Amino acid sequence: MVALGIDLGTSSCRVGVWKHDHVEIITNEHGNRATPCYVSMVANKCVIGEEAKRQVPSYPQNTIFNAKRFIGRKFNDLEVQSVMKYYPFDLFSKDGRPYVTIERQGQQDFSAEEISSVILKKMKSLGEVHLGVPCEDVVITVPCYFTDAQRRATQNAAKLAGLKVLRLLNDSTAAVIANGLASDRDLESDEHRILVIGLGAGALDVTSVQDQWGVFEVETVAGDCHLGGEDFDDRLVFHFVQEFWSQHQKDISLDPRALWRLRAECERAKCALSSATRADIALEYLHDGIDFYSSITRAQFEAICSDLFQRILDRVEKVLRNKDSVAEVILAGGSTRIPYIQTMISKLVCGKLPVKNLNPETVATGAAVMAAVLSGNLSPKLEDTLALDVASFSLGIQTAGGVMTHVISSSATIPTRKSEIFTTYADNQSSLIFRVFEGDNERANDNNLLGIFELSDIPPAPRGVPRIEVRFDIDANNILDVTAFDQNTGRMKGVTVSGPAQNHAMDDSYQQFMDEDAGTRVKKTLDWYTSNLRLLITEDKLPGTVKASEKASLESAVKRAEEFLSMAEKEGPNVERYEEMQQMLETTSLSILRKHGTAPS
Amino acid sequence: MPPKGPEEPEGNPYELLGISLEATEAEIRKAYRTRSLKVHPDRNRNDPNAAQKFHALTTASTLLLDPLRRLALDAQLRLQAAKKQRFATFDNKRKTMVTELEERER
Repeated sequence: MVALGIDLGTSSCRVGVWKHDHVEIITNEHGNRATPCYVSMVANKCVIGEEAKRQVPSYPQNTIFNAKRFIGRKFNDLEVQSVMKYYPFDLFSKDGRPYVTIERQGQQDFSAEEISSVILKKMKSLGEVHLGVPCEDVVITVPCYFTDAQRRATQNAAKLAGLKVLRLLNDSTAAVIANGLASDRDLESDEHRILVIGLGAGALDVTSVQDQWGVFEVETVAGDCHLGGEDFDDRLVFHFVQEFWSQHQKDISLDPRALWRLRAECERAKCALSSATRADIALEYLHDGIDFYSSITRAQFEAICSDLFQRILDRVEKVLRNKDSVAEVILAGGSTRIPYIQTMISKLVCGKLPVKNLNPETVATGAAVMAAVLSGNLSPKLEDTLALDVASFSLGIQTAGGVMTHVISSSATIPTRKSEIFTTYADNQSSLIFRVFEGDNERANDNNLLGIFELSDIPPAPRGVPRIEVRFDIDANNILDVTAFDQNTGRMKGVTVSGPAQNHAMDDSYQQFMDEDAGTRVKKTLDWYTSNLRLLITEDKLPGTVKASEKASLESAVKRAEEFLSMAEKEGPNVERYEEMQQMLETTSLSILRKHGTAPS
Repeated sequence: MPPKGPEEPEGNPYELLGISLEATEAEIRKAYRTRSLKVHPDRNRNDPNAAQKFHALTTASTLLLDPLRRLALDAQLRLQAAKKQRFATFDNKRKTMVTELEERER
């Protein structure tokens, strides 16, 4: 059994596999080792990766990127609201969750899970082409500060793509595994503390890890899953939108195409500023036929992003404060190339440590190693590889006075389970409501509410007497399961703590849509239905009770459908008319067949 | 299956980790890591009890790495050892009496 390791990033995605005792990063059909996380849906075609990215200028509203920023989030989250306006596509709220809407053959809405699943499916097919065998098992990396909801949503996306998730691995843990396997340190040496700072396009991960002969024991994590290269881009875009306004009194933020071109140029400038001290922006006919030329210096860039940089350093300090014996610092992710960040980090660790910059494929490599371990690969190289991860957040229950009672504290090694005893606070109280939170704040409401559940039918007793045990189980994917148990009566209540993760994606119609475009689908259905009915009539398989008049009306309906099908062949697809015809055929046939007790399934 | 009470490691943490009572912190951590290679669910995909075993190992090592809890445990263990030793010195009649008493008390 082979399993793939997928680094599902905010801006790009990589897939690797353990083969011939090392990790191979799989290239896509363009020969690139990274596939941009762009999905473009125009008319009835859906393209992914480079092609989709190229389509942004032509179809800015039909091309979705950065889906990872929205996955598992609520529409009203500050993170969603603050970046929405910089994106050329339309986000709206459905059941409180962000959806994108795309204008194609009528309006279609997609959740972030669905967009991510399209990308994952692409990665899956790349892996399968490379290996030559079907492949379902994957390890997917996520930022360590991904919440329970975001993790579940990512799993959901994988499920939609037909993948089985062996593990949701934290980005930085993956980086450590890859780094540890690559280094030829003396395996018998003592433990070795590593500080990993991963800063990609979307998220920041800071982790301190102890490494001893291939066993990587994570100690503390900190991070922010909405802080990365994209935020620097947003700042630059905002800066130049203002500059354009002051020069020409025109607001380009309402022009999706201009906004996209500016964004791409800003990203380029940002990368240039890592080696040069000044970068130029040149965009011809940006908006209303106006050319836009400008430039930005590294100092300016650092100034407009200073608060973001400060947030990064705060997180690093948070991990460093309790740990001062760091032996090695490794940096992973594109945004760690920013010189200011590098200087500040080396200052924080007293400037004497080797700060190693890892190649951008480290995370995918680590994921592929993990995938090999989990799929039972017996390579001697992997014999001693094990990652002991920790819970990213404290988990607990709200108790009297709105206080958060922690059941599992952050940095507890997972998988783990822990229980607490709770009791009633009024005489003869018959039910208890549990509000489960994740987060490190003392006040429950400042944390993230995961779910509410109720344990009822507690037998009448004075307050404080019933003993209700609540058990928290965290699996290796950092996903929580809660069980409440009345010790006196033996009543149990299990809850899967997850937000209202409704998405229409789960039904088959979506799956079919992803496999073939809508036009073909409606045609196929009608074709199949018509020919089935035709068979029933010609082979005389209709029940004997069917009257001649009914048979005739059925016959005429089938005939109409057949005529329509042969005509539509020439005219080209028209989804609505196909659907109309299908509807007509179904109403006629079902009303007759049901009456006689044989409705076709 | 009803869940167990608030977690306290079952069995002797020292035995679980395979270390002596004098083990240093570094030795505890080392033992924890070597043992976890054997019992961690990731390396024992087919063992449904792996998570349980690994959890017991984790609880044992966190206990031993907490100086206060370790002190308490050590005291308790010493007490048990002393009791056992005292018991060994008893003659047969007293031994039977103690066993019978404990049997009745249970």
